[in-house]
Amino acid sequence: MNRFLFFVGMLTIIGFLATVSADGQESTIRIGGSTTLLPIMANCSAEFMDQYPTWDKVDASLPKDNVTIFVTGGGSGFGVKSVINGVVHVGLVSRDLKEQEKKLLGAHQSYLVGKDAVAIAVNRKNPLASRKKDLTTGELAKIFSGEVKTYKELDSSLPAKPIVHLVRDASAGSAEIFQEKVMGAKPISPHALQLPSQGALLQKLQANDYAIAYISSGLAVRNKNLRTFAFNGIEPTHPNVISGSYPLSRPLLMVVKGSPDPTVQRFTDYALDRCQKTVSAHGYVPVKEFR
Amino acid sequence: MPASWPSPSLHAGLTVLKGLLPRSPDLSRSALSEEMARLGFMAILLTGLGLLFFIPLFTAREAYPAIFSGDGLWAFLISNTWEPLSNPPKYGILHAWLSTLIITGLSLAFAVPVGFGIGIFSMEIAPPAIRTILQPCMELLAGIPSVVYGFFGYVTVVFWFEAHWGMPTGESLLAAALILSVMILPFIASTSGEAFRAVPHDLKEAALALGVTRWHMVRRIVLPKAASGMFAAVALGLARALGETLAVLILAGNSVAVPHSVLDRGQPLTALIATELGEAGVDSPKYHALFAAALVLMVVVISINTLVWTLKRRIIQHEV
Amino acid sequence: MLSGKLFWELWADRLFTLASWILGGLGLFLPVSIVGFLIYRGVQAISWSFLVDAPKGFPLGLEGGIRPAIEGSLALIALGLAIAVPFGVGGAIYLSEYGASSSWERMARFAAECLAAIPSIIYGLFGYSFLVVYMSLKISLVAGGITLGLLMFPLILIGAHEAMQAVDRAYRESALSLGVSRLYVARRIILTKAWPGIVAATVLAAGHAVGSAAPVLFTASVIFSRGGLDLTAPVMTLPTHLYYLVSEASSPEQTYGTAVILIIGLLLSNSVATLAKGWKQ
Repeated sequence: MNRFLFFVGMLTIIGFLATVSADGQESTIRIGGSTTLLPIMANCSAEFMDQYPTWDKVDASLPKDNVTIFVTGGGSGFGVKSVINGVVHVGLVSRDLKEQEKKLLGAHQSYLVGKDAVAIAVNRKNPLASRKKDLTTGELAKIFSGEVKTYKELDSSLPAKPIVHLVRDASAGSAEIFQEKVMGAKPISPHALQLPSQGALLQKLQANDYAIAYISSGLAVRNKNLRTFAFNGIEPTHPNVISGSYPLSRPLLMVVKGSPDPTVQRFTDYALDRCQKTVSAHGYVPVKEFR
Repeated sequence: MPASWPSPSLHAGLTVLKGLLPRSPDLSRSALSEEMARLGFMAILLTGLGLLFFIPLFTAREAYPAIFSGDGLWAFLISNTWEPLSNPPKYGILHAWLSTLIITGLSLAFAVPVGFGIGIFSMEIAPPAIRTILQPCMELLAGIPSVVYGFFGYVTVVFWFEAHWGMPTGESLLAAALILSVMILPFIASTSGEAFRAVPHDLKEAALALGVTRWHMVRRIVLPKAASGMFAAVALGLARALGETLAVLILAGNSVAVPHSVLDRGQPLTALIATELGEAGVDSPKYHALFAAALVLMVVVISINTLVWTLKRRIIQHEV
Repeated sequence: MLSGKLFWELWADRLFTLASWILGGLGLFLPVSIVGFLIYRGVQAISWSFLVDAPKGFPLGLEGGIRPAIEGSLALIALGLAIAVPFGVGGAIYLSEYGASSSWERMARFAAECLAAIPSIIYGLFGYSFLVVYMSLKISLVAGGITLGLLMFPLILIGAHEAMQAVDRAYRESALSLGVSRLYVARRIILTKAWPGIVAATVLAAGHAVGSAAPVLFTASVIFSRGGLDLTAPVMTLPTHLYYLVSEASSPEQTYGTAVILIIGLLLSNSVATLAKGWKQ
């Protein structure tokens, strides 16, 4: 009986604690969304926590609480939904916000961390790697919609092996951009293998010789195992992204609902400043190069 | 009555209450704490089960819009494909339940004969030493987490399929079914093993004393008598196979095409929910569609359990 | 000479015996080879740093350790058990001692078995929409703990009920006939005799919950955390971290290492459960 009462007591305490929320500023920051931004933000937050163990070291006016930052993925769609629902403080989004999303968000702040190009890539053993340097919108639409099923149908000198399309799932920023700017009204072949993150795309692309994918240029361009294609004649290089001539480029955003807490503000400032070298280390175009 | 009772009115109230309860009246203090304990435990049970009943009810309520508004039940189950990005978006789960069906059917086809075989082996043929090792071995197999199975399958089966069989991707319904069959094997083996053990010893001894071979005895006596238990074992394996998430998420290929063969990629219902949940905003059509998919799963699993339960009741009634 | 039918009978019997031995061998081979393979590949990754450090490296997760995931998983289980054990054992006491052989008992038991069979992703779906979003618990330790508690509750209820039913009727009958209250019987006699079985069921339920990624994927887990436990904060967990490592495949060593930790946990919980079941009172 006493043990039973003890458990009931514990449950009550736990229940009470759960409903008590932190008052005033947040000393823990939750960040989540785009899997493209995930590695950048993970390293960035680790550096931030290494440099500033407590908030008062960031800014003397902040309390002496420990700096705790949680970073997760889930895709740009998840990032937007989470920041709307209040589940995260900072949503990571690797595409432009849609009108409907802006309406649901209400007042918000959107910080550009850098830019990324969505590149079309295969691994170096892929039949297309040595054959073609450039793919047009039409060719890509035919490949990814499944109209063209084998490599032989693309080019009769290639083997009759089935084309394996790797795509991101529906929540991804890259999926949205690819659909909008390459596929247009054509749906992506339902046979495509949906992968949960950019890293997974990279991994599968390196492992499978018959796969073709759209992938963050940051992961593809400097990777010796992969070959990227020019899109309508334009290479997915940094200068082309900065000048705007590569059409499949997308913004890498941190989105905050309403106006950010002082602690969140400090972190976003850090990301836009000190973390820019992390951005370029991961292969993306830091926002400084646009200023 | 004892002089230390708190108050006359409290005592009167409690007496009335106790009179309402179906127990013989007993006014001693230990009987009071007895009643409190009984009501307390009953409250715990009701709260717990109530909380759990809440889950299916909540699922049904959230699934309702996907089935009754939108395109309707037929479209949801059969005619629509899963196209959340098209304009207008369509939510149909044909590819999902077909994938589930193929994967679970295939995994049962592998696991049932092997499971029954292991059950028979451990009950009829194995020397006692091996029988004692077999039990923890099955428990080990049953306890390995789904995600570890998925990882294992990825570095073995998927790798072999791609490297040695030249499949375009090793991820396929077949790969998922192979690993799933290993996952459900221990449940089929131990449940059928218990059914085999329950066959009366004297029947078996009598048959063997008459000089029939062991196989003859097993075929003619053990199998028929254990048939209902074997059926329950298959049902249990099926229910487990239906519910697996992470292993099939990693191995089945996660593609929304309607699968046509076991070498195709697919996306079982559980993988569909896991993949799309993050992006589904609460109260969006996709959110309701996912709950409807969950409802389909739940209905099937509960139906299987009900079937097994009624079967068990019938056996008990027949044997009594 | 043997008659035709007898000939077939003997050969069928031999075939049957051979097939049984092969399948039995498979039953021994499969778990040993799977566990052995994973431990062989993963044991190199296990070091003090692996167990004690947070993820490090560029990109994060390539090096360092998985301490936050181990902490997170243990915290989730502790919270889940704090909910599931009182409800499960209390409910089982009622079923076994007070409601015995009534149709209520059978219905409750049937309900528990159905609920135990519900796929874990549905618990995750429910946890996300009801606990995380509707109840505004956010993705947190408490939301994940409640979800796991709900997951484990039917398993513990059924296991505890079985353990109590297994206690010989004679104990109950003789105690009650001496005029002892049901509560006393439940506490002092049934629980004392049944607790090994209850412990075994609890440990197995906990082992099952630790390895389940689906319930915690959207209710409690984040991909990167430095550790530290707070009821309102999310946590890394072992199964979700393994899933992340498998998808990214940037560090096979870390992946195998995480899998081995999960396997070691499984071996421990299975051993404890077996020991508990074998404990003769």
